[in-house]
Amino acid sequence: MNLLEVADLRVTFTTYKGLVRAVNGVNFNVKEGEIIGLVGESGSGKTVTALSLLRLISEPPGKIEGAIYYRGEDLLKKKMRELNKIRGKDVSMIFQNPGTALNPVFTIGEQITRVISMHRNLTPRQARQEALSILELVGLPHPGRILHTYPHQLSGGMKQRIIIGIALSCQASLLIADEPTTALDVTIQAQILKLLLELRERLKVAIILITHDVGVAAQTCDRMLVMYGGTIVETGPTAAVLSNPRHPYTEGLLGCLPYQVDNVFQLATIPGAVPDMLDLPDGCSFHPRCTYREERCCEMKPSLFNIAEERQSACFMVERGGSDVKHSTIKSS
Amino acid sequence: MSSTALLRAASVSKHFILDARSFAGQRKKAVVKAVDQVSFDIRAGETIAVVGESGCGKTTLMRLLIRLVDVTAGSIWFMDQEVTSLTGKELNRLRRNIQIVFQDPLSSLNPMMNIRNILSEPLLAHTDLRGDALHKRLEELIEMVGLSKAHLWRRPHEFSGGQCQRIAIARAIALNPCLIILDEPTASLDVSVQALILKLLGELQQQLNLTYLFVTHNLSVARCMADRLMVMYLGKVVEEGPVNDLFKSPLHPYTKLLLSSVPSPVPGESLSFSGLLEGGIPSPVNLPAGCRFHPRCPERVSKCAVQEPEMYSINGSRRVYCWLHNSGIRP
Repeated sequence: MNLLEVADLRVTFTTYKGLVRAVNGVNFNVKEGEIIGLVGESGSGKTVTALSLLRLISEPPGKIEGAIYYRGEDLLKKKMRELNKIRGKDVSMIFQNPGTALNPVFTIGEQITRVISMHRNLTPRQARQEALSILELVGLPHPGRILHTYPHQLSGGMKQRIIIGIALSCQASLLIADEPTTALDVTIQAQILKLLLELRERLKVAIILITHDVGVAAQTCDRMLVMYGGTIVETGPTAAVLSNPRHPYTEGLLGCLPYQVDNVFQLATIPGAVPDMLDLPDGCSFHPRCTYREERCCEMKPSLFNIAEERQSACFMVERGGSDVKHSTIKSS
Repeated sequence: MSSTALLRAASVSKHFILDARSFAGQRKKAVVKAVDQVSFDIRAGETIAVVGESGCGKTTLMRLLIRLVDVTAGSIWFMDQEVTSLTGKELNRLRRNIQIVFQDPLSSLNPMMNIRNILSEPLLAHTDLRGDALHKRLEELIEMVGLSKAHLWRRPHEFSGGQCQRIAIARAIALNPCLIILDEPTASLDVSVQALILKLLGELQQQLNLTYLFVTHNLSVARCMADRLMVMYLGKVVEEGPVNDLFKSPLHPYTKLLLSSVPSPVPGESLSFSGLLEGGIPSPVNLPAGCRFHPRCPERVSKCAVQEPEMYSINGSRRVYCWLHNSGIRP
């Protein structure tokens, strides 16, 4: 059984300008101990997808539809009290900016022990011991001293390590990491990525890594999901997606990367701009910018077609060219 | 001084004095050496990229060059003129020739002004263009950066981040400057937008014969934009040289580690997690003695903790500040 199964997830927000369709029918699953990357540019719906997995979106104005099965139980059908037992214990989350994720008026020790005592039956002394071992686990020197410090006394990299420690303090089996290294320098980023990979090995925790940096995904993820306009446009093992992209958007995105490019004029560009989530184009949401567009792209929304095992692309070209494709399309509403 | 250098910085330093009082009222003075004895040349028509982690002094260095802050010591020549002591009209003339594009495009544009007014500010301040001639120039500028004439009447909040950066670039090229300082111009943009902005900068450089000083923390961007790369660490230059040489054979241990920390998007080309930099950047107040990098350096020798490394130059085009090369440990 998959650890997490997301089926036809749709998230909308009612605003005074109209209905924002942030996530439009996302399907994916996460196996135990696997790292999957959710890759996309700003506004592609990756953060909203992640937040809605733990129902961290306020309803209203938001509205989450579909189903999110964690070990076979639908999180969307749970009462808040039941959900709070899962949040931070079985499924926990780390956020982009380590500077704002910790409370500035409590010491690190208080913040770690609070999470532990909320989910586990431990005496204060045991909780403190546990906090010390967590700080050691995430590779911080002098854990005893760090317990008594306040967040402002620590650097960004140290704070992010503590946040990862707090997230894993109750033996979580799924960690949702929303851009965990975006606010950090490359050298610190490499340290944090290394830590995440080590923790995956030691604790067998599955990680959903949200990132806009294809390089980060390439170095850490087993599988990646490329998002655009609130839908997943391509999925597959990381190496396969990167070496042989099968969706025009993925292809365009990889061409934009300035990696090992000696001259700016070698960079590819994607014409146009990301779609307005208030007014998504009919059919495939990428069609206004797509160089391969056909007539039906403007009217029909392509579903994810299978290319190979665990390898899918939401593009009609794949449907035509693939050998084992599923012939079904979803008519756009 | 050589005639080929458009801008030359000679042992430029900027020290900030922290004058803090503790709760007990005791006064403690501390000096932050944000930029310490940095020397370099920028030749006309080239692009030089300054890279380093946050806190290495790259932004302060850039601010020194246009005199947004004053130097503590050292001198800066721009077109054979010493600029650290300029005032009044002469300073104005300097700022006409050196323009700047800041990191956050939205906050560098005044939200109360429309694009027409934003772009006409530098022209009104420095030229005699008025009326129709001014308007014609504004239309020309906005089209040069890939926007349309109708955009002139809008305000900054109506634009996306990439479009705002285009407007900031248009403002920077309005006066036909010699040198444009780009402070992390794509750091807050998505990769697809970043590619468009970088291309625009490349095209403008060819068209207008511009010189760029490109400040960035993104090594991949530096590689595709720059001719020469200057690596900074805690206020000091650690290595400088042509971009391709530096990427192929970095000499300074810090450059090596910095380059190996960049996650590659090429499948199979995995990040060497083994030789990672340990720890964070030390406090700029209590700088380590000797080479500033030695506490984190995997290849340090005993001399590193005692004496600051001197410049070692190779073929006249590269220089590195490291005892490994200087004292003949490495060829």
